[in-house]
Amino acid sequence: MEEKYVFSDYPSGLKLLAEKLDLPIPVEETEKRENYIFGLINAWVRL
Amino acid sequence: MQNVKELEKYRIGLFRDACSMTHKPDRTPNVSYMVTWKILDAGYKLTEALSDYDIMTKVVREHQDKYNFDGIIEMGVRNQYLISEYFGAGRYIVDDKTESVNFRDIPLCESEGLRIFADNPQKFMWEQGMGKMYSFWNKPNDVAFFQKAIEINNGFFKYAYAMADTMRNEYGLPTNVAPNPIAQTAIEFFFQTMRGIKGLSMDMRHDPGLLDAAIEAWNETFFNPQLTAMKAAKAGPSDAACFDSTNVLLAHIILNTKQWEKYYWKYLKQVLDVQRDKNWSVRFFAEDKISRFWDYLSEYPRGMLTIHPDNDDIFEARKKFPTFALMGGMKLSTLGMGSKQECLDLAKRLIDELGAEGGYVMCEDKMGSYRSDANAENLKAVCDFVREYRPSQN
Repeated sequence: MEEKYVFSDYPSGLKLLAEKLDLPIPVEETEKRENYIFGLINAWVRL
Repeated sequence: MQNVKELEKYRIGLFRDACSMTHKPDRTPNVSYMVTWKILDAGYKLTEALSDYDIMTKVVREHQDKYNFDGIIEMGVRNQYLISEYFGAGRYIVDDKTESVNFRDIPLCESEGLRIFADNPQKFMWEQGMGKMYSFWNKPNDVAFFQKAIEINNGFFKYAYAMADTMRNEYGLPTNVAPNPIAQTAIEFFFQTMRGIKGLSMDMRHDPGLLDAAIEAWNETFFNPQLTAMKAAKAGPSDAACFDSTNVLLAHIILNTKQWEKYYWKYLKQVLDVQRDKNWSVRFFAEDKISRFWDYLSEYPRGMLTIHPDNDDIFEARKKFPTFALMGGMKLSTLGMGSKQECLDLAKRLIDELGAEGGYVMCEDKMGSYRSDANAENLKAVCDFVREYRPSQN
């Protein structure tokens, strides 16, 4: 069973998701990965 | 015209000539503003099409096969239903019995939330916004849950791009608006998403200082960078789209003149100034009525704006704006309840009075949502008429 986390604290949740998710951005490009995730969050709060 | 590339070019030319008000177009361009109506018209249930992109693709194809528009504003992307359902947000209320799509209004915060936003917009979005929208957010989740969410999210955009490509490459149907950046004003975000009608109305009266601080935070984080991106975008008309940019207004409906100037016009003017400097052709759509603020638009140059009224009288708009193109005016109430002849009479009047020499784009006055919004035979008759009608030859 996959481990569960609480991602709802900022910025620790953002950093954790940026580290764990499989994204189309290399893992070493941390800022770009965080911006990608934040872009999703910005869209999802407006759905 | 068999060649789809030629057809796409011809159609873009119709828009560019009509909207620039410098050349008379070969004929009036005709745009579809039918949204969920086209799902019902194609014989599908709303839930079927909203949750299956293959079905939505058939819907959009059938819409074009049947009516042969020059542009379609909405190609099945209005409602991001699947991701919302995956998150269990309950945001959409889709009812196949009543054939309706409703949207549950969920303001992200109470007035105190403005203070958190003003201090740190990112922290607000992450903690307050997501927490308010989604009950899963504050509970433990595995990474796979978010991985799947990204997959669903990407699926939506994959559909959107593929649909646009299909319509362009197989039907010669141009992209409606070029993919230029746009800056969203704070007041629209606060109105539509963060505070809602009631909340924002109270904020403007009870604590304008706090609202100002939140607007400043919005501008620093979102509006100003977006405006910078607009300024960096390519100038001049796109040769691959009907319009270069679009402004859609909603929050103006609750504002008096003083509030409009302070909260809206100050920022909208910055957007319009960039659009003018870029020589972009802009579709300007305002929900409900905005005629009490029309004077503010008069300073912009001939042919820059195409005004698409919602509940304002389009013939009054022609008197007010002799140098802007107009779009819309084909009343859903007539398409839905009128006779075929009444629809054709209205279509002829719109073209003759608003754009016999150019300066008019045929389109419905509102989003077509319900089955009763149009009788399919009426819509077909109007589309056939617009395609053949040349005022100067009659």
